[in-house]
Amino acid sequence: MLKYFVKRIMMSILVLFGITVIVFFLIHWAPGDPIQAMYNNIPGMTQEQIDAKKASMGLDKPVPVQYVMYMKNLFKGDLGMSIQYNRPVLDLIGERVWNTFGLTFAALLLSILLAIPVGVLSATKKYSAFDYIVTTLAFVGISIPSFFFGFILIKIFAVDLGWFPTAGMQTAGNTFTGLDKIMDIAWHGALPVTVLALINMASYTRYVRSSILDVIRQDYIRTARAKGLKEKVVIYKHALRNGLIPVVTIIGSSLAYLFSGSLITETIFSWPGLGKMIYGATTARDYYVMMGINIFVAVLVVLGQLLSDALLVLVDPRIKFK
Amino acid sequence: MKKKKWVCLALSVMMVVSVILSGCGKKSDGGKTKEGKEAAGNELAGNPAAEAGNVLRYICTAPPGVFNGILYTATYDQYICDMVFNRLLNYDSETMDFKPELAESWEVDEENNTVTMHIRKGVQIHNDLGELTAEDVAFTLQMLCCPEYDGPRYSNFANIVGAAEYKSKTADTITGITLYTKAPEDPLDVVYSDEEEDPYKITLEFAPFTTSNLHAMTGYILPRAYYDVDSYDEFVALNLKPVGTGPMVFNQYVIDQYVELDKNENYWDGAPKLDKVIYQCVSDDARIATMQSGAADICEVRNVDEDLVQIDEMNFVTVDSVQGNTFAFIRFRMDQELMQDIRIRQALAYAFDRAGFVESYTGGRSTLTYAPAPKDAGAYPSEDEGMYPYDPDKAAELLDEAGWKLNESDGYRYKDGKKLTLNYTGISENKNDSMKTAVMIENYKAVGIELIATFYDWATYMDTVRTDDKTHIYGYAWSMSPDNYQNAVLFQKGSLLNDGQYDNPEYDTLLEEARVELDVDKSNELYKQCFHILNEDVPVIYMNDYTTPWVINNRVKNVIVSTFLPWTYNIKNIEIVQ
Amino acid sequence: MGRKKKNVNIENMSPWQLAFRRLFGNKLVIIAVFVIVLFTLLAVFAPVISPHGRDTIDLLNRYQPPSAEHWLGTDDMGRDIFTRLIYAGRVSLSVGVLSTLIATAIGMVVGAVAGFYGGIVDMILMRIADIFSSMPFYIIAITIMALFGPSVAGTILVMGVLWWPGTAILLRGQILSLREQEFMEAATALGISDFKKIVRHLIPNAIAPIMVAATLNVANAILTESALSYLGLGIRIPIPSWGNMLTLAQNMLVLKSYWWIWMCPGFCIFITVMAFNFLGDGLRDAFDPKQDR
Repeated sequence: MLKYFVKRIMMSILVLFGITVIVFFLIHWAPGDPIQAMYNNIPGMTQEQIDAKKASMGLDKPVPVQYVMYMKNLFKGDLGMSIQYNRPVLDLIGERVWNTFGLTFAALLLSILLAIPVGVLSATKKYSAFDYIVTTLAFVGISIPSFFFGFILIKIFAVDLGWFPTAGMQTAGNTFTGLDKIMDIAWHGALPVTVLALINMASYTRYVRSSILDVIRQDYIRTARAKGLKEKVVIYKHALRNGLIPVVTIIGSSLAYLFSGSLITETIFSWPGLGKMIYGATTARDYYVMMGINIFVAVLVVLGQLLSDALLVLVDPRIKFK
Repeated sequence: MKKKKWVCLALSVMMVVSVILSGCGKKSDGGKTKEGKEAAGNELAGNPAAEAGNVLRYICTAPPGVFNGILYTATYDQYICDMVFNRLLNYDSETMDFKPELAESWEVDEENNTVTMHIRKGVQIHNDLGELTAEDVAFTLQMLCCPEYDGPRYSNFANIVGAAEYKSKTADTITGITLYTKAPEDPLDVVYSDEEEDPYKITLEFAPFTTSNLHAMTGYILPRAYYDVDSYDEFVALNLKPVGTGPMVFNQYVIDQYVELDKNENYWDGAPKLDKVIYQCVSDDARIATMQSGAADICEVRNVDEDLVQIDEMNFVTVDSVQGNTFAFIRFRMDQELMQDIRIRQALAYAFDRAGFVESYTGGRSTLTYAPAPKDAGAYPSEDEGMYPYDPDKAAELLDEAGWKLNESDGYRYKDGKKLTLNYTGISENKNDSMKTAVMIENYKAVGIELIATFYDWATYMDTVRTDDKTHIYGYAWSMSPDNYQNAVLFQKGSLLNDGQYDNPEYDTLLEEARVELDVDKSNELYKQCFHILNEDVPVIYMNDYTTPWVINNRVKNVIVSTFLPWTYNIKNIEIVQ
Repeated sequence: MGRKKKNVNIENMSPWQLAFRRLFGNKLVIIAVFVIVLFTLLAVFAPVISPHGRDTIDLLNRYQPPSAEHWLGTDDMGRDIFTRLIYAGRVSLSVGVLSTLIATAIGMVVGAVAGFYGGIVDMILMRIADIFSSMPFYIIAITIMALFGPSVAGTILVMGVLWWPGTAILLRGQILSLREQEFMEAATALGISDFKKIVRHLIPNAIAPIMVAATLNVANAILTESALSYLGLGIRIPIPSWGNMLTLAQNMLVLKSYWWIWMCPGFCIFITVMAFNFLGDGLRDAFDPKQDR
């Protein structure tokens, strides 16, 4: 088992390395140049000044050389300087990452908490009205563009009803502390979390439902029923535990999807997270910020996969990795 | 069983549709407005921002966070700089003449190309860092000229005597900057004169002095007491914690969320009336909704057409429209063989119904321009210069003359078997660009020109229009400067901004004359001649200028918005009705 | 879903025929197929159906509500929405289908080779698949779109190039289990070439789950196209796609007062994506009757 995980971690490092190569070359291969984009329309800039600036950032060297330099610094824990903001990339990510984490985890938690009971209920009451409504709504959830769902929520709950703010993460210039501060952030986060959570929940519910349905048909469930155990015990003790195993793997891998998908939600709600920054960084070709966020999210993805493997072992003692 | 399923399906779909439908109901009347009518008479009745306190809340896109008076490039950052720092000179908001700010008075010695500034006494630096003197001005200039400086403003001062040598490290002193004190223990790299002791006096020598230099003096001054640090990296690290002498003191920037500024109780011109200014970061599309909810006091309108309709529904705001400082135009890549034929360029100008487009696109809020200068500027040519009105027949005539014959079968023009196809490069983020090209494609097709439009994002666009061998025509928008030279330089040979590769020695000579001419009327006359050449030669087709509407909550008084000045211009006198 | 066997002799039907019977016994699938065919026909015959030009701008008639002249009204540039909608169907459907074809093709080649040969080849290919599936989609997509410029081809390529690992892993798994079965041993004994073994014997036996995945992929691609267009990176006007037409709803006024502008593209996306999702689910049920959902 330990050997398996050591091997997995080695593989993950290899995968991460591969990602840095692809992303680095892709970014540098893309047309457009950060310095030109920044200074080109400023009167009086001379080509010499632009060249000097490029040289000072090492952007005049061949891309493979730049890559080696970048990787050397990366191993020292240095993600480089942002071209646009003139600040260390690590600081820029650090300032925003918790906002994105907060949004993503709140949405993840909410969607799991809702999807599991709804999915289980709809599986156990198969072909009931509840089941049909859930199934149909889940279809709706996976068929609606998230940004559009966001607009509708803003329109109804922020503009018309005025219950929630239209944008931002906290009241500007507030002096809240403790619980007030948390409430303020929760109030601002309600709509974006809802968008992320509901769309995510739709697909989770579908997984939970079909997974439970699979389990219910298994022999040991029939045996349990035959033994005269109460239906509740059968479902919640036996079926649930095994039915949720595939769901665990889905959660691990959907973390990455959620993280990268929060980009759109952040854009709609002016949420000050990484998603908004990557968009601006790409427009400005801020190479190191782009690299930094890519590596960061890739690490998260890989960790998510490792985590879901570990979780699998936890919930299902039968699984033995080789 | 099956019936039930269909009922459920139908139900769910209906639910979804009704949610969507509720999204398009008529405007909500919102209890707030009703209350307002009942309590008429009170100025703030019905104003959702009535309880917001003595704080001015501005909303805009998040600033990049380069809050440094000599390093910033984004307008968003400038707003913060404009409140935290003072300028040496400022503009009068009405006449755009220079007026004193930190420099109480100044003398220009045309003979010797020098300017002497007398700095105001008693200007206190924030955080009790002492009084601002001429030394701080010299320090700011030295930072601008130092070899490490990588901001965009060095060129404004590159003609200070000795600046270039200092920049290239061939000299230790900028000989063109003179202070009138004894050299302190840690002297700046400038000349210290002992002829008469005056810590508030500074003399700058230029080679030669131009009006652009005077415009550059409207830049911000950084206090040496705070910004004189050991290395350039440390200097840059202060960007998020600016300290100056301005009316507002920087409090904090919560990244991508808001900037908070407090009033400067010790401001030399009297303490501001506001307690706080909050710059709140909100995406363009959420602006109007935020104004409507009362969570903001002032913003610039972005989607003019759609937003103004909604603003009409709000009875607690005022719209203040000013001539924007941006204007749009279409440029030709003069190094392309096809574009070298003036008849093709003229035909392109005649064949595009620009006036019609501008009229309908902006709903009559802006009009065509005929020069790269604001309409009320002295250098703006008279309107009868207005050339190339929409005239497709004339365009067809010119194209015939140039040898491009119409092929009746496909409606396009050919010459030597080659179709008249032109490539347009635009910016994908720019809505105006896509609308404009859609009309252009139709208009040009009518006279037999095929126009192919390609859009790139900003960074790629900047690369493409200058270097690729495909682009013939490209769209452009330019933020005008009150300094005519900075606008006219777009067409000067050798300028980086001349991406169209326009090359006309006559234009360059006139422009150089205009630049060094200190007499305003004479220099305006020269600029007019420059612009006349452009109209004759058509390296560019001008489109429209913009009107920028500002929405301001009625509780806010004394905001001055103008073409060239940031909205923070009058921040000290802005008042909030409680 | 309560399917009842009818009195037809199903004993001498092939598994495929059985699957088709099951598939078209599902009413939702029939509706889904009908919707897809309808939108495809509208898209194909767009120029015949609409009297208006796709990009014809009429700045004097912007934001016109539906009328006899403009069946679904006009948009922010006075263009006929119905016309653009059916042309947009061309773009959105081809983005969905073509990107899926590319992803499935790459995935099948990689998956078949990895599964068939195993060992070091499998190891390398699967790590590459890991790399691609670990790359944050939207972040990489933004970069690639900047490279190609926002265009139909770029949008198709982004999804095609980034989405293949799913199919590859699926097919590899199928082949791994099929490889050990008797009929493959027979094939080896008969001296059939590797290529033929893969193409003639392994892939046909593993095709069902791939078809299911591909159908669901189309739905996802149409949604993703709209998201990319919202970010300004998908399809650029004047070329219409349902996604970029829907993006106009980001303006509050349009959302509030000009419902015809966003309702129709929103409805088209919703219905089409739903149809592909139904079809995908229906296919899964049809091919895998054990898993009665």
